[in-house]
Amino acid sequence: MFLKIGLTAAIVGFSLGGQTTLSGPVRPLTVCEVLSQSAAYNGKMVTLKGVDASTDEGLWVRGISCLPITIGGREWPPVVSLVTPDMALEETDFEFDEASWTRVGAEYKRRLSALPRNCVEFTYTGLFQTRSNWENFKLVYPDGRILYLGYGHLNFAPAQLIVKSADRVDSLPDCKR
Amino acid sequence: MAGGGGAEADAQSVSSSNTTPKTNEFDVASSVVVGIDDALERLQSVDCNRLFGVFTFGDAIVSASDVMRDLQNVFAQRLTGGYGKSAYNILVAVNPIPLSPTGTASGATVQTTGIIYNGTSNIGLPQVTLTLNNAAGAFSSFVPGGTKDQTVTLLHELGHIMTALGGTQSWIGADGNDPVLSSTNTQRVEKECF
Repeated sequence: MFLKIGLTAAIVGFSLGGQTTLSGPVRPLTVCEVLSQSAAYNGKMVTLKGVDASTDEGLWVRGISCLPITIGGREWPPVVSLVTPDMALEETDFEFDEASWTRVGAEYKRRLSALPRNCVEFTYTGLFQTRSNWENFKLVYPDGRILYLGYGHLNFAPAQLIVKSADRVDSLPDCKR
Repeated sequence: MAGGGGAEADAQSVSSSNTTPKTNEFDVASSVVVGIDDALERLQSVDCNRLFGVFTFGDAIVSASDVMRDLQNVFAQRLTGGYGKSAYNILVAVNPIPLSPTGTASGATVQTTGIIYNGTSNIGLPQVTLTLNNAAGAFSSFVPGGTKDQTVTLLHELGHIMTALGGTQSWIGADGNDPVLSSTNTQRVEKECF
């Protein structure tokens, strides 16, 4: 029994925490991977990648070709809201590495002619957060309208990443403009 | 208030930054009051006002002008060192939002950040947080925009706030992370209010 629990823990630790336990470079998770196991990554530092989907009302990273994302019994867009520690609702034990953000942005600009926005993947590291019990974050308006308190502008995303750093920019293979 | 600790801090823990900007931040508080005054004037127009509809709060019917006056009061309190308490449960956060790596600038966002649940239903107004970007050089519609830019942004976000507080008649539709819808909402404000 003890062995079974230990083995299970090891498997879970490897599959979910593989980013930090594997030796060598960290393999970023895709937005799809993180959202598909959102409960397991909740409250953990993760490195994830996706395309920039920012607007004039918020910073977002979007997954590419995700399977439908069902969290808390409802379907969500494959999007994670990006916030800095300054914007987060609670304290973090790290600061926003603004220099990394600037560096990655500059790298994107250098490669812009070859990399249209939807063909570029950005990698970020930060604290991943979602709700563990969406029923506690369900708002029912008097007219029957329901709002689940997701993250970002108009609670649009099922999760947020409190960004510690922007790590890199990559072109998507076989991406059409 | 719904939620607990950890990754689910309740909305009461929101710490809106004070209005003293860091050296690399735009002094939003002292300039936004001009935009609010302008927005209030424009809301006198029937065409502009009808964009936003109303919501009910107890027995009261609350208009867009009521909410904008509430925001005016919040900033007036902030400028004199107060916390800036809203009559309609609106928190105003002033934070630097960096440009996205692709260069997109965020001016402002609206998020429902808290609800009170009595076990069977929600009670009172939800808590809605309006975040204004004060990052200097963000070149968004808000910073370092002129009065018109700020008024447009304030009215656009007002439309979202009205819906978030229970209104059903706002013409400023849910734009989530859709830049086309967001732009359509902005154009609607510009057309009807200017």
